[in-house]
Amino acid sequence: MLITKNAYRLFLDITILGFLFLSVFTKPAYAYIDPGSGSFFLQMLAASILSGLFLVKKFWGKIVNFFLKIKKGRNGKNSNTDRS
Amino acid sequence: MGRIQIPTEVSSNSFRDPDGFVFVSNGVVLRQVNYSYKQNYDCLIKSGLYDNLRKNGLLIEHVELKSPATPNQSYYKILKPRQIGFISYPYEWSFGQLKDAALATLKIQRIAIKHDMTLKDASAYNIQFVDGKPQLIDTLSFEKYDPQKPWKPYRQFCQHFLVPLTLASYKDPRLIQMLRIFNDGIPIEIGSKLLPIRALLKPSLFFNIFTHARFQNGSPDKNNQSKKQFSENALMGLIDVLEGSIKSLSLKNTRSVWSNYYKDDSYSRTAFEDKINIVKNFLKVTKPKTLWDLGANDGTFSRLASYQGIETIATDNDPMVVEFNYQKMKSNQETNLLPLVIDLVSPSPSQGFANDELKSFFQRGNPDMIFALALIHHLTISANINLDLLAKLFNKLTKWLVIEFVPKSDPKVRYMLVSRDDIFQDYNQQNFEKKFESYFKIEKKIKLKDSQRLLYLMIQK
Repeated sequence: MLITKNAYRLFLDITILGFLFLSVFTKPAYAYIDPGSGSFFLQMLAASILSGLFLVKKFWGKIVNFFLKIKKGRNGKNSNTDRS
Repeated sequence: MGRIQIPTEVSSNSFRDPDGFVFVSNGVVLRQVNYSYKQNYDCLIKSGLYDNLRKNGLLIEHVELKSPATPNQSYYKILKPRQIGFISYPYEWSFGQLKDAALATLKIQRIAIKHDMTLKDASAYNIQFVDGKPQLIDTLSFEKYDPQKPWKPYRQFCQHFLVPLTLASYKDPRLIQMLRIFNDGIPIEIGSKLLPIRALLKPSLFFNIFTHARFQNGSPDKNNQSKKQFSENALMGLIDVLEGSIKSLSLKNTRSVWSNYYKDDSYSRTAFEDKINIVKNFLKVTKPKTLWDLGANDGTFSRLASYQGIETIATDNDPMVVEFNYQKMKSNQETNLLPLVIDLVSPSPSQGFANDELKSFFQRGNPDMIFALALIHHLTISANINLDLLAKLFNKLTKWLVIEFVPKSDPKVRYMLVSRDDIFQDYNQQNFEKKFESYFKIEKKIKLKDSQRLLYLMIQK
């Protein structure tokens, strides 16, 4: 359980870092605007990544189970081979 | 409650929201909902959001009053919310209080989405501690949710909660008090400049503070703007990231000067127990309903009152002891105690628009009783405030005063005088009594067992 939690955190960090890389290279145009607009644009720019984060979190259990099943399947096959 | 008196002029402390305002009629705080907010207000009630939040203790309860005889043009409803004894401000909260207020705001947002509504603002001033828990008091903070639009209060949430909490966590808990200068929250650019690099290595803080700060001075180049729209999933992702950031913040284990006050040599066990019994007895005789314990430290004496159902405010100028007091209150699920960070040498002033939007600490209440226990020697000897001024101040504030006089022979006062010249010739029991008797009548005077200290029960003249 701890491993899945840490893996999720790692995923979270990598995704946000990916976004950060993009955001650092996005130049704001310096014109007089209400500061609230900047916050608005930042959210628009990050929308896909934020959605991704939410969906991964929502379906994290299913994703982990999917990979665990594949791993179990392989282990099962291996153990059968061993017995024969 | 008598006939409702709706003010004809906009009040200078409830003018920002075009959808309604708060006013006081016959001593009762009421809220008018304007006709412009009709659709949203009806949705709040009909969607079940109001009931859900109320049941979860996250939104102040209210009842709708009958239409007044002469409603104004913008009238839709008049609400009578549950009356709150004392309104506190975020710059008076400890780290844990601001953190819990932030988490409550995000929880409210999550619930609102389920009812197809969203918060239109996320001001820390809209949260109050009611029965010991953070609760939204602005019933008009919601609007119909449009999934295509980003979260409107994102910047406000960062300025009111995330930036001060991050500064407190990475630098110093006293930085929360910067909210006193920046009433609309600490500007994100300032937070970004003040935070150490290690804070910005955390992706969520890098995004919400550093990158966010870059976007405060301008909008992205139009050519670079994507044509994408926001979505509910993106909003939930943003709330997750903000919640994760807030939850991960904590205070370093900073030991303050006061955190071991009762454990060091200030009191013997006998004197301490005697003091508790005397204070209990004073409470029994006077039966106050509201009480301020000034210089309350960890709230040991405040609890003698709050456990009896007395609405008690426990103030101290040290954010660490207030934090300790709050955490203790929270774990005991106490309901009548409100710990606050107040420096009596410079208490919260009246400020905001027209110096009237936010009231000064002393303008916000007149408690039946004040505790000034082991306090005045700090104010006189450390801050040079003379006894006459103190007596005058307490006289303006309260009917009953429980005050402790700590003579110069006391180890604590001797220690305070080690590093400075003794210019306090008037600081003696005789002069103390003389000055206070100009403003109060001394009802009881008891010397603590095993100590030089004296406890007085005084009544306002």
